[in-house]
Amino acid sequence: MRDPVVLVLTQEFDVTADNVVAILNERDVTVFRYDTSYFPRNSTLTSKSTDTGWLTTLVDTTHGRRSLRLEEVTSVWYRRPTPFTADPSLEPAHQEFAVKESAHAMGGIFTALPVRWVNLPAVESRAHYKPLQLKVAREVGLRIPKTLITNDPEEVSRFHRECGGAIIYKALNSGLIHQPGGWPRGLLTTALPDIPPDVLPRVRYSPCVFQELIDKAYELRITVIGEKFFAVRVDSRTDDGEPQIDSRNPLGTQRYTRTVLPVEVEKRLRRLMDAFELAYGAIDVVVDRAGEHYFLEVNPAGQFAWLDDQTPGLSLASAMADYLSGLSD
Amino acid sequence: MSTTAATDDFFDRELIQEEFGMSRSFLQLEEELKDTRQAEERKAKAPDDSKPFGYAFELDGTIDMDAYPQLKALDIDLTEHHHYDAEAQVWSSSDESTRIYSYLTSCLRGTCAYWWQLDGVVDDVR
Repeated sequence: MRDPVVLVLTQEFDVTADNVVAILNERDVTVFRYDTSYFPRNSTLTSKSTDTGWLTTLVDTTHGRRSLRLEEVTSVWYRRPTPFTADPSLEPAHQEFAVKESAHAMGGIFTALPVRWVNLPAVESRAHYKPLQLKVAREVGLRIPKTLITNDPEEVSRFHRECGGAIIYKALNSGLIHQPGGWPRGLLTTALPDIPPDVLPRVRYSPCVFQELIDKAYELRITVIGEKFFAVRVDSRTDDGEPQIDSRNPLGTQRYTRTVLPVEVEKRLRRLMDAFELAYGAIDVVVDRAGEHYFLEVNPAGQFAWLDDQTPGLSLASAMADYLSGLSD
Repeated sequence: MSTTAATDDFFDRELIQEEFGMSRSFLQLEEELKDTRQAEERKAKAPDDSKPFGYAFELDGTIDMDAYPQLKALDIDLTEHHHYDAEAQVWSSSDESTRIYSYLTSCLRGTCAYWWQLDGVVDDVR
């Protein structure tokens, strides 16, 4: 078996990646951390066909000179690489050309490597779509909240009546609202017992996701790394002791405890992961007061540094290091 | 034509992620705070009925606008001490960097702090 060589594609500030890289360093596993923003401005990539195969070398001079033979890489962790950067002396249109060519060169060469990916970019792009996630979840037998995706205000009114006013609104994508140049702000999942008539028409501007409000007992955060499932129960309460609509709301209290999934739920989540061909995913599930599990979403690039901090003995960073270095399947 | 453009765009984005900009924000904090103030002013000027539905609800997360003067009072050179450690291939864990990190975290509010403390990226929401 070849010694593992792990290529970590991510930006320089990435706490989750830091934790895993530190563990790999401690284990003397060869790691090459690289951000696509270094290319082509500060890096060269050369791939040459030979009689015995391809010879590909990435040389980076962003922080001193270093190089990587890509054929020696055994796994790639596709975390948070940022946009390619062209030589700033080029005209904007020429920079755009250089960036597009870079995407095709690096994208084509990297994804052709016969290595373990977490996750393959094309796989992750597809899995990122929430409407598709919900469709696949149902197909594999998972329960999902009643859902409406629309930018038609009349449909929203109808759905609101059908659910007796017990609905929530959330964003289709990141829920991040970032005024250009300004600090990003998060859009929390919001209960809508009433929808002000002056606000409803604004649905027309942009598609929205509405779902029935589940009578939540608690949430589960399920991190899947290869074949392993790590389930954590999240009890998030308001000051009155009621479950919060959105567990990320910093106004309440959160408690994290390791738990075990019902066998049937885990089997169905496995089918979901397999359907998307995901090696890694962070899954959010709500459990109602009757014990029913409702799939909310899977984050193909979800975070886990915080979960390790909050949940004693979880060790997701270690599990990811195991997977990337081929110590686990 | 539009289908072709959309497909090209899809492939171009395949290997990169949406940029959150947290590390830029903290390395160029003065500029970031100025931009944030201006963005907040622009948003406040726009009439509510011209904003998408989501803007009507709970928008959480911001930064303490007084953060920069307070940070300067710490008398730590951000660019010298708060940076990527290329040799270890992780963000610097020097005492100064840890001190800056702790301080900046305390300047953040709401989900902004959540994202920062928990990783500084965005897709992990529902």
